[in-house]
Amino acid sequence: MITIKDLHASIEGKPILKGLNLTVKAGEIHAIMGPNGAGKSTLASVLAGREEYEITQGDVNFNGVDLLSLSVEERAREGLFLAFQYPVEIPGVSNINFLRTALNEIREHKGEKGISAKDFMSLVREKSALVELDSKLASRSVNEGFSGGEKKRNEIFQMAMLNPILSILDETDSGLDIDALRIVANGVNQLKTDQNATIIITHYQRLLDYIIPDFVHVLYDGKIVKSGGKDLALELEEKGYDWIKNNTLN
Amino acid sequence: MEPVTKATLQVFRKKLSPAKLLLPSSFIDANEKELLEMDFPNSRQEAWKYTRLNRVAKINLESTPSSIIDWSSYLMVKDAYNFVFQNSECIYKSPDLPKGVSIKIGDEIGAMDWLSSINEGHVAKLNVAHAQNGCVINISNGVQLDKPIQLLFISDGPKQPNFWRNQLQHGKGAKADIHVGYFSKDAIDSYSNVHWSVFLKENSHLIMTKIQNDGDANYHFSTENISQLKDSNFTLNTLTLDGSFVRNDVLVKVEGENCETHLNGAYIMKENQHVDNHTTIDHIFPNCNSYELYKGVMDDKSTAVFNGKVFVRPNAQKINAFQSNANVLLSNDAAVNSKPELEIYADDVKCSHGSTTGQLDEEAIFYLRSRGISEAAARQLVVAAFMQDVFLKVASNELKSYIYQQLAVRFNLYLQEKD
Amino acid sequence: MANYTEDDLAKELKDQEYKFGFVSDIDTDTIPIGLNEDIVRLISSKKEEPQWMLDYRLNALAIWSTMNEPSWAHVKYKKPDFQSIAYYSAPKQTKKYESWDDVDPEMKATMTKLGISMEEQQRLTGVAVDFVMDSVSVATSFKEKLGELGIIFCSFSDAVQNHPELVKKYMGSVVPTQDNYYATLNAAVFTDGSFCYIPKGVRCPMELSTYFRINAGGTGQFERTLVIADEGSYVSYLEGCTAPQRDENQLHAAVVELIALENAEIKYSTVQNWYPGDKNGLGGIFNFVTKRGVCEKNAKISWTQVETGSAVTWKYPSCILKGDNSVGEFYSVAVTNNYQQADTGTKMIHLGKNTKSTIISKGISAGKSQNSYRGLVQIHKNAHNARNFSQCDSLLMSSECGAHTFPYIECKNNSAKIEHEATTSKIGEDQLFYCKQRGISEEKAIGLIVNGYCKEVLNQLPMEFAVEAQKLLTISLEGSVG
Repeated sequence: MITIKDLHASIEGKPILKGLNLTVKAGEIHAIMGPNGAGKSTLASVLAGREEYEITQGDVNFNGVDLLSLSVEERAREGLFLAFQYPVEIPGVSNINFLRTALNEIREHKGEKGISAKDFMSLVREKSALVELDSKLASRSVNEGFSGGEKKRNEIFQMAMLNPILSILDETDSGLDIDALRIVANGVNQLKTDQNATIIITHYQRLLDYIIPDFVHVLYDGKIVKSGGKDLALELEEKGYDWIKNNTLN
Repeated sequence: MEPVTKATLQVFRKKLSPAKLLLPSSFIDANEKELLEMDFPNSRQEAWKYTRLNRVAKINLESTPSSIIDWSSYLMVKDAYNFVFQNSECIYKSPDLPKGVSIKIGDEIGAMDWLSSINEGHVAKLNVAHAQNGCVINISNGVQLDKPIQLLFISDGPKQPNFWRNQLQHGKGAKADIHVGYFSKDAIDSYSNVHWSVFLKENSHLIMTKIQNDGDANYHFSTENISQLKDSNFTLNTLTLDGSFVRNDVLVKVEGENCETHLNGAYIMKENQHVDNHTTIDHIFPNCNSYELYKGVMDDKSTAVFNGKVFVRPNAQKINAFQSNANVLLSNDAAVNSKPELEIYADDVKCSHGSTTGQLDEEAIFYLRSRGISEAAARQLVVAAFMQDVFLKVASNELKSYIYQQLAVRFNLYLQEKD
Repeated sequence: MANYTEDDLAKELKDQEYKFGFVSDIDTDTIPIGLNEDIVRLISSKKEEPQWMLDYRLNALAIWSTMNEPSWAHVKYKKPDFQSIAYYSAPKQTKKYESWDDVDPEMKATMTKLGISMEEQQRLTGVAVDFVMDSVSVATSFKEKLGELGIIFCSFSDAVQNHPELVKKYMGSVVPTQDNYYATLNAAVFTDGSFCYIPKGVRCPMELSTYFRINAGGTGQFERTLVIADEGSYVSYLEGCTAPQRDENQLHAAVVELIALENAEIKYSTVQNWYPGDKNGLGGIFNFVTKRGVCEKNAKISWTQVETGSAVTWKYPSCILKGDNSVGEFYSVAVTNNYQQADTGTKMIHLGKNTKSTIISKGISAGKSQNSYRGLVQIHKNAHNARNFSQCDSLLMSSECGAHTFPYIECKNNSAKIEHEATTSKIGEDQLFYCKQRGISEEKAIGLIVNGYCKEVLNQLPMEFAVEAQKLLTISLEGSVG
């Protein structure tokens, strides 16, 4: 589904990603772990298309298209979804209006017809139940006045509504209490099919207790330095990131 | 009210002496001609909308000799490099200045010592035409002063005109704290006009705190033109503790990137006093921050004007400019006119301003009284609390305690009178 | 608003050039250009006015000829040549319209193009409409139904003929003849406008609406609106403006006076979409308008405006809060693009006790435009416990535009509480990125964010107007980023 080859990216001349390779197939869940500053969020931003980052080398193939040549919204319409670490507030714009606009743009891109108001509303009801999001929140302004947990749940709700092929969850577990974590994880698990894939970016392994990854990668200094199964996360948790650092230095 | 006619300014100038300071011809050339063609502005002119000059225009100024006063009681801080002006004389010069600091006074200043300056409007033009004394301060590159420079300007006697003109050149990477105090003694219809040109070179750091503590019946006009180069940090604190008529015009031109500008002001007015603070921060270069905080308390029939303008020029991107003005009216005869302005010609900016006007927090006063504090003391405490965030901007602790002391004197005396 | 979807918007956007830019081919009766006593007499006689009205005009002309055009606003434009304007232009007609059926078909077509087909309006929305084209009011709907309640809603000329006592009493009582240059000019040459009177205790059951349109070239429009809400009454009044696309600058100098007597409430909404000129700043309307209302005891006046049009706007809908406990509100969205210039805001004059005012202003500048908020909050000595809250926000959409804020706050009473806040910032890059990451195009994302930014103001508009305003906002900002 997505093949990242030798990806190098820098911000303001400072290299962050230094030759990253990763392949994700449909139906898989990958977790990317790593210490602060390893480049985890940079990877999410680069894949989503943030313009502050300069791609200095490498390429990314997303379902047969050159992802890096697409604009932010084209990537989204091709089915790439980023659950933001810090979802932004957009005052005055209702969640509903926002999502309906997004959904219709994606449908139009696929050559489908716009969704009727009735179908849209029933979809909202169905998907908001998935993350136990109060339907009142759906009619409030995008993320405005939402608690940290509500914001994260709203991200997963949007993911459910837009039905992406590849979802990247950027530190979705940060700032969540255990109940919210369970709700978010439950949502993600239910959305999993053999047609889509998920990349979970996280510092801690606790989210991985709820969403079981097929693969775990350790990102360090802009590169994936170790890959393994779900046990790697536990090993990391136990030994700490210094273990990786020391291994890499040796 | 009689209209101010064109001849009024000439009548006003009749007994004023011509400039004693040696100024460059570029200052003087057009100045006199322009003065002859202008008059006191009236309230139709935007910059003088809320400040009437009719009374000023009518006073008959005349310089009279006076005996040298004991200036030590005017000192705001003890340990400083002191310079004292009494009318057109400099009566004290600090004998020891640190290496890299030069201060020229009066006739020590040559025309070549003056850097170019903006002299617009009748106040600045009068200053050029009649400048009697003042100083030119040069702080060399890299010099960091161990203690502040303290300058006292004392107006002595009735109908006394005073025109002081000063310049400060602050070298690259230099760091200094300058305290300026304005006072008056036996003033009846006196007039002070003080002009400062301040140049901050790259990466320099300057805090200028001016205390305006004029007695009654002095008309005080103060102009500060500041130019900031790259990476410099400038703070101007304007504290108007007393004065029957005070007008401050501050213009900061930020002429380099990564500068920081702080303008803080406090004014505490009573009786028929009038204070007018006009400030302009002109952001010409990108990546700069400016912060402006002016607060005032007006009692009796006093009036205050605040006009703060922030300019962001085209291409001056990434500017953060914050401006705030808050006023408390203690009496129903007091008035305030506040005009915070933003003029923005670049898009990647964050600018905001706020202005509030209201009463003292009666709840807080009630609370204090319920704890046994007298009403007078409670009011003083609440006023001090309201003004506190401006006073806290004064870096020097000694100067801060001077301000609190003045405030206590001012309020105690005053509240006793009222009881 | 629920019926209006983004798809509708997309369709609208395809037609993004100024869509009201057509010229109707209607025979007009236009008088010679120029301004002098004879012209004023001619206008007055064309309108078959009584002597007192002519005297009023001549007095205004005499005052105007001694005045100078003001220059304090933050706008630059070539001063109009007042001698090259035709001050009266009317669609030719042989007799007065007795009913809707009498209206010239071409005129009906014009209205339909503007989206104000009278039949439609009457049938569906129940909005009573007065339509002013160039200089005269051409049709007023719902007259009879309103008449049953004692509500007078007619053209200004009709009011001069049929309700002279009301016109004499209130005209010029809020905006005096000598008030300002353009208002004085209007007092001399105004040609028509709307008049509305709501009797004591009547709650007007429908929105009253006036559409203004400048059609003929070489003319100006000088209309006058007078709304009187008698004690305890309520009215919501809407005003819409369009003009054809022309290379010349046309002058619109209107006067609106609102009188809210004790316990009355007037809600006055404007969607102003005069032709703004083309991308290079050629042509467009000069919109120099004086709008002011006076509130007696417990009365309330609420101004809402969405301004997207005009080459130059100079307009400060104001409230004189004369009576105790009266309330003034001002909600404004002003969008400028290309070379447009707007200097707009409000004045809240607090005279009575416990008076309250609220100002919410949202300015959006794009292209090379200049957008200024100018406002005055004045608390007089006897206005005990007056309250004001002002919030003025500016959004910048390009590096070549300007956004300016000039508030004047004057307080002479210590029991007053005044709060003013203003912010200026760029459209949020993070918000744009977030929308785009969800697949929304940049143009649409801007539309969404801007509409959200203006929500507080748009919410004040009646439903039909809110939809129109939303569309206008999006259309006016087309192509403004990038």
